[in-house]
Amino acid sequence: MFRTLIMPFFSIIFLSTETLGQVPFAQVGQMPLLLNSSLAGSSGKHRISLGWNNLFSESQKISNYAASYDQVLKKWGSGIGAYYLFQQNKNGLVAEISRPNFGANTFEGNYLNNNSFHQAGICFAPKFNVMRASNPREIKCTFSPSLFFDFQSENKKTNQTFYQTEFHSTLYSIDFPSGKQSMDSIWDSKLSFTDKTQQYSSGIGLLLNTKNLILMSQSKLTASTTHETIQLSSYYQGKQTANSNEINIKQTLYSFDQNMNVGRSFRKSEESKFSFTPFAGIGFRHYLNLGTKTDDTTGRAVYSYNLSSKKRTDWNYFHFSANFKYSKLLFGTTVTRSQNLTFGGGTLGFQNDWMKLMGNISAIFEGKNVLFPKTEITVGLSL
Amino acid sequence: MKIDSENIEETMFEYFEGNLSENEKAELLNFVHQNPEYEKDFAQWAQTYAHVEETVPDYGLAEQLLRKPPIAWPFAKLAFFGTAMTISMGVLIYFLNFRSQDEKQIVPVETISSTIVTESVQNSKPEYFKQPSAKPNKLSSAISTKQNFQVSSEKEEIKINYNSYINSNLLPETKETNIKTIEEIVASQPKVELVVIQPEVSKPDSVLTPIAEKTAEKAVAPKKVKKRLPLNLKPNSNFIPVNPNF
Repeated sequence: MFRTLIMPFFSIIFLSTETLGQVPFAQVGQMPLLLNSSLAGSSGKHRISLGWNNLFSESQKISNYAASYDQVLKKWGSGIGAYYLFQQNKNGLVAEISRPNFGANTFEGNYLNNNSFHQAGICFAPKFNVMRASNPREIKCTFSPSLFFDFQSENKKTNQTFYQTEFHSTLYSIDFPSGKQSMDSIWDSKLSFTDKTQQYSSGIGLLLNTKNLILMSQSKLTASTTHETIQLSSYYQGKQTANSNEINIKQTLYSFDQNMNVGRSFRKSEESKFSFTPFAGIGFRHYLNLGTKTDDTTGRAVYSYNLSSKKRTDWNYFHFSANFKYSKLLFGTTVTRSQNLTFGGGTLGFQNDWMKLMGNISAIFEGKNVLFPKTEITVGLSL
Repeated sequence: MKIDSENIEETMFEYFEGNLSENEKAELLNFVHQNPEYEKDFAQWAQTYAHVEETVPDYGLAEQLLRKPPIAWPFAKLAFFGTAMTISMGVLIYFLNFRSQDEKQIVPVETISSTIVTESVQNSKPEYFKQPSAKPNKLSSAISTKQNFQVSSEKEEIKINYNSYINSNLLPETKETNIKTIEEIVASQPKVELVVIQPEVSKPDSVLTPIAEKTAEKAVAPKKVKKRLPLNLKPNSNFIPVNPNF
């Protein structure tokens, strides 16, 4: 019976070949409901989880704020929970603009995209016990399937019109479905771009845990409705030379997310103060109907999201952490992939019976150079 | 009375107690006036008796004192009936669940009762009783071995309610010679579980025979043990929590 319960975890992984839901935190266990909905009520107490992280680069700035609450309904033998995530994503710094300010020139960054992302969800996870064959009164492990509903809202827009310099870039529009290369002589371009996306997701989670082992899997189906408005204008020496028609695209994309996580806590004995807990996870997202779409106005094919068929399956989640605990002190290392970036870093924290506070500093390294530093603070309260 | 230094204290006491006559009071006061060294003592006696006041307790506040309220009759009634109902339910549940007709139990030897001839047994100490009771009752004294049983001239028949039957061989008989020892009874029993039935003394044979057949049949047929699924399909709040180290 124990083996038959493990099989669903492995079989679901190979159903599709791409993408898994992202948990934009290095310590994924600190955001249990974002990681897997079956973790609702898994602590047996009222739990509040809070998290914040910040990622900086020359052309990108991402901030995440998350909060969740879950508890056990003893009457129903089930856990319930709710979570919320807010992400501020500014990327695509194209040029710096010089503005006169009290007789001096100041420079400020201009981002191509200023995205705000909201995610909220609820989950319900009943708990079932698997008893030992030798002793029907002893619990061998706990199995918890779950059901969750998730809503996401994303707004992308140009902060203001930007002036593209002599960078080479490929722009897409209804008039240039194969993309248009900006020419050196055109050193001014104006792009108005807005994108409003609403996603509705639902899925199931699976959790199998013993006292020291945890095995999780989550499958999610997402319907994403996007409304894009794009207009491209070109300027040469201050004069508009070309202006495309305004493009309005409204379409619905379906994607399937899948992830799996496994962890084990090692301890020499019950009285030992030292423990070692490795944890690993992997996941992907697969776009089910990504391809060319025909614009109703012009009848021409338009690519959405500038994605080619090669990127229909995106392995966008990878996590490995090795945490050590001595008495109440936590320390460890993490390797996480999120926002299409892979980070490596260290963790330091404190844990007692009712609180777990963890701080993480990670970065993307290129040789010895740090490209994108990321700081993170998470806290979990058990009441 | 002549007052001097030896009896001055006593005389002062009697004065303030009011036990002196007028002449004695005058004599005391004259003595104190003539001996100033006793004026201080006399003044102290006077102060002592001035602070002693006999007061009568005021019982007017008695009704304002907190008193343990008597138990309200409705509450007492409810408690009484509630207790009676609880006890009744407990007894009913006990008899329904633990003493059902299909339940099989091994009847202890001590509960075997029979209609036997007994008498005021004298000096009878049955060998099979390991711990003879302090007050051997008629039952314990009646069940005895052949060797130890002494029959006196006066005989008295005692009939005791049956609790169970072992088999027909153990039917109690009124004759002394048919009384068997406990060891003989136990040894003659087949190794099967016993059935508790309603006793009918008048027709013991008709009751015993089908029971013996049933027990024999059931002894042959093996029981089918139901296999329980290891997975409890009912959600349970008593589960293994996830290790907090994750």
